[in-house]
Amino acid sequence: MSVLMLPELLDTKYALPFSELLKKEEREFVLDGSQVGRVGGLCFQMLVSAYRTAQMQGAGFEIRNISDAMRENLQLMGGDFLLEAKGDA
Amino acid sequence: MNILVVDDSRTMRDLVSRELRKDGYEVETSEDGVEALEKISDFLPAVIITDLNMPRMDGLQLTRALRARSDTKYVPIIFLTTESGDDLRRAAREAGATGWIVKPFDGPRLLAAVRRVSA
Amino acid sequence: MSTEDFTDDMDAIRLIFFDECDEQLTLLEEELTALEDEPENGEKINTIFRCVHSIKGGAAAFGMEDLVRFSHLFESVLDRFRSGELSVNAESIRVFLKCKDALSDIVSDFKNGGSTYEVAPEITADLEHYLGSDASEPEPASEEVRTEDIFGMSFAPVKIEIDAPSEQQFSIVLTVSPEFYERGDDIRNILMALEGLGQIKVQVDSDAVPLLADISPGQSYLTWQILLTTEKSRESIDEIFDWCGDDLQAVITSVPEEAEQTKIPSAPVAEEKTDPPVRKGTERKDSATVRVDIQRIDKLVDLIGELVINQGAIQSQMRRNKVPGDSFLGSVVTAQEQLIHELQENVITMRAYPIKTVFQKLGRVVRETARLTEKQVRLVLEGEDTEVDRSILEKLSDPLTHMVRNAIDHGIESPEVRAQAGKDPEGLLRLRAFQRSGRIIVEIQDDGAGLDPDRIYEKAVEKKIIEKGQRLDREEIYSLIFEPGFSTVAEVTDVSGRGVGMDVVKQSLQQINGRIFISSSKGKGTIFSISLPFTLSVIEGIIFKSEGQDFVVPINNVSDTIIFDNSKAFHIGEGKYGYPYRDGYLSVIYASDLLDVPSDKKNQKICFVIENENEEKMAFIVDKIIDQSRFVVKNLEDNYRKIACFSTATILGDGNVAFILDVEFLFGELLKKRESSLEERV
Repeated sequence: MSVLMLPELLDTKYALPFSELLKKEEREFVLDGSQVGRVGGLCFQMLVSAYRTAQMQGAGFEIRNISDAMRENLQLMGGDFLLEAKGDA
Repeated sequence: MNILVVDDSRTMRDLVSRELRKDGYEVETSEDGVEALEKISDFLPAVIITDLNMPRMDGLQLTRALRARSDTKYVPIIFLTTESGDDLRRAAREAGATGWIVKPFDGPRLLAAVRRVSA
Repeated sequence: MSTEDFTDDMDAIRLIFFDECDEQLTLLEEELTALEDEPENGEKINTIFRCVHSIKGGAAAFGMEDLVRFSHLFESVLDRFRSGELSVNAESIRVFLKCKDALSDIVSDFKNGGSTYEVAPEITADLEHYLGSDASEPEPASEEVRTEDIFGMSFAPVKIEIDAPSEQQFSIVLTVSPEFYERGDDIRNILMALEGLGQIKVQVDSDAVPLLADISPGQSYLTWQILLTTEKSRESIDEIFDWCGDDLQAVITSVPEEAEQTKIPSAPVAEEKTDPPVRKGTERKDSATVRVDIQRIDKLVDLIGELVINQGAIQSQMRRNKVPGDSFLGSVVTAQEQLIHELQENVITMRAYPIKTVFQKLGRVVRETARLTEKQVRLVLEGEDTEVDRSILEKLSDPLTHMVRNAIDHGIESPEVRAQAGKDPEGLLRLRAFQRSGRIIVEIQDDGAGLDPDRIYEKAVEKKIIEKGQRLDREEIYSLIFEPGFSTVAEVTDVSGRGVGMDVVKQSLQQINGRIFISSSKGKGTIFSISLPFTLSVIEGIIFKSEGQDFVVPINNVSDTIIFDNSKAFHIGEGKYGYPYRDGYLSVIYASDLLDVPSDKKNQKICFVIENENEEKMAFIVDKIIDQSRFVVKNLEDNYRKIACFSTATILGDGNVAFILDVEFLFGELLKKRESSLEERV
């Protein structure tokens, strides 16, 4: 199981590379949010897409070590369900 | 957070920088678009505040150039200008500006604008 | 750094500004001199423009108003040269050099601690000369822009709250386009800004987000639903979206009070009225809003106008073919007429804006004018939610701006004078809008010095508007201020606008069928009261015939209709007749006189008692009444202008044109003219 380390800025510029990285994840999504200082709308959308993909495939989706900033940003955009998601769906 | 202020008037550069520094931002300045583009090779500002009317390269040309570069494609750009006409607003939007505020210089309004694009 | 350091550098920046002014002035001189050799060089004009522009920008930041004003004037002139509207010659270079010297003088005056500076009037006059007709003949729109350009944004908007702020809830549904992100914005910024207004609850609808395999990272698939609880106004929400244009779609609904758990019983139920959605090109439907291009609504209004005309055609064909009104066809057509009527009313209210949009702009004008005249003014707004058709509202802003400036400049006294008179040093300016008998009334009330009838009279004599000794009642004296030439450029201070007299205000109000009245009390203040129609597109009127021509008289102006008995009309002077009515008599005007054709007055059987806004009455004699209906107002093309007293007409069902009577014209021009021609003969 590999952990995808998220960068500090999940901004618009990062949306494209982020989509490439997520597409490479094989079975489940384990992300580390400890370094994240900011999440923008497009990367938020990528997280949502990954979550839905995981649900569809019956795979796991989890964001570990969520930083305060990341938590606030996700909540701000209505993404509480991403915080709660854990392990195998 | 780093902000780049582009204005051909030293008075305006100083006034804007002073206001931003007072609020804890780090500020770099350039006299016109050409200098701004050179400066951005060394560092990447989180927000760019630019005048419209400048010699050599004006704010619209600068914005188009920044939107064409991969590193500054999505950096918020705020116009700070005395021009308030609708066509200029439209031109600024079309060039890729994020927002605009109209001079004269007003500290709180400036800070609110910066926060609006980079909270 | 401590705050003190920052105060110190403000002084330092001020010094830098003066240095920079010197640099700019030197550059300005060089370029001007060089311009003599190559007057066609556009780049030189550009540089010159930038020098002046840059001085203006700094001056505004330090509040050096006289410097701002003069450099702004200079800049406006240069702009005309820059854009190619005017071309440079020896004379213009001479003027520019003089202006450059004047700029130097102002700068050094401020540098040496001065705070005001008056530029020699001939220099200003030279510049204004280049602005051409705009300077003498007002161009209110650009005047407006100018003011906003210089000062508009230097004030944080001050909200005038009449009621105590109370919390309300808004439901906001947001979607964005990819361009939104491409311009460096982010939904996160928007949500943070909304959070700054109060409490938000956010739900995201992610059903449209594709799986990773299909997603395109630059697209935006999400929809956000936000419930915002705030004390702030609807405008504060709109302000957040201001930069987004079409890249962001927001459907904003104010959640009714009943839906809330905590509610204030006395809270206004007219929730909908507080929405000013139209300002941003949106339209209200229930309380949700949809953005609609205003041109589409204008088109709709036009189309319905055509529909009304067509409906008239059907009905006139039916009459011609003697189809009874109670036949099946007759009742269907009548029902349709009613439906079209409702459709028209609905569409026209869609185009209505709350007058708030104009009032708010005036708030800025008030602050600015108060500051320039060093007066203290408290602005009170009432009836901001009164709705007015867009066609009217557009033309209301300029005259109101001038009147507000005028009220502060000439009406409200300086704080010292007020204090001496035992008044609150802070003057009160009240703007009030309301509906009265189908018209919109806008009042501008100040508690200033009031109009001085004696002074106005003297001045009018001086300006040869009236003859000395002419007898006028108080109202007539007041209305002299609307006469052309009463306020001249020399007297109009820079605050009241250059060369814009009250005559222009009156004229522009007349264009939208507005009337203006003054009441004033010396020492206590003045009320200017403007009466406006709700819309210019439709009127309810009575159609009548005279000498074979159709006319329409607005129903609001007809107070009575009686059978005219020609034998009772009596001669009171050459070409002037009276007709007994109730306890007195009325002046008589024959409709046929308007047409300038010989007529047999014996045909004329019907007398309308026509009443104007001042409740003056006259007898207006016509041949026969045809019908009462609603008419779509069309402005007359030039070829109809030969009949002076009509500026509008309507097209009837049979395709004929009927002129719409301008009642105010009948009272003002026509009666007056007759009286004066009589006086001449006497």
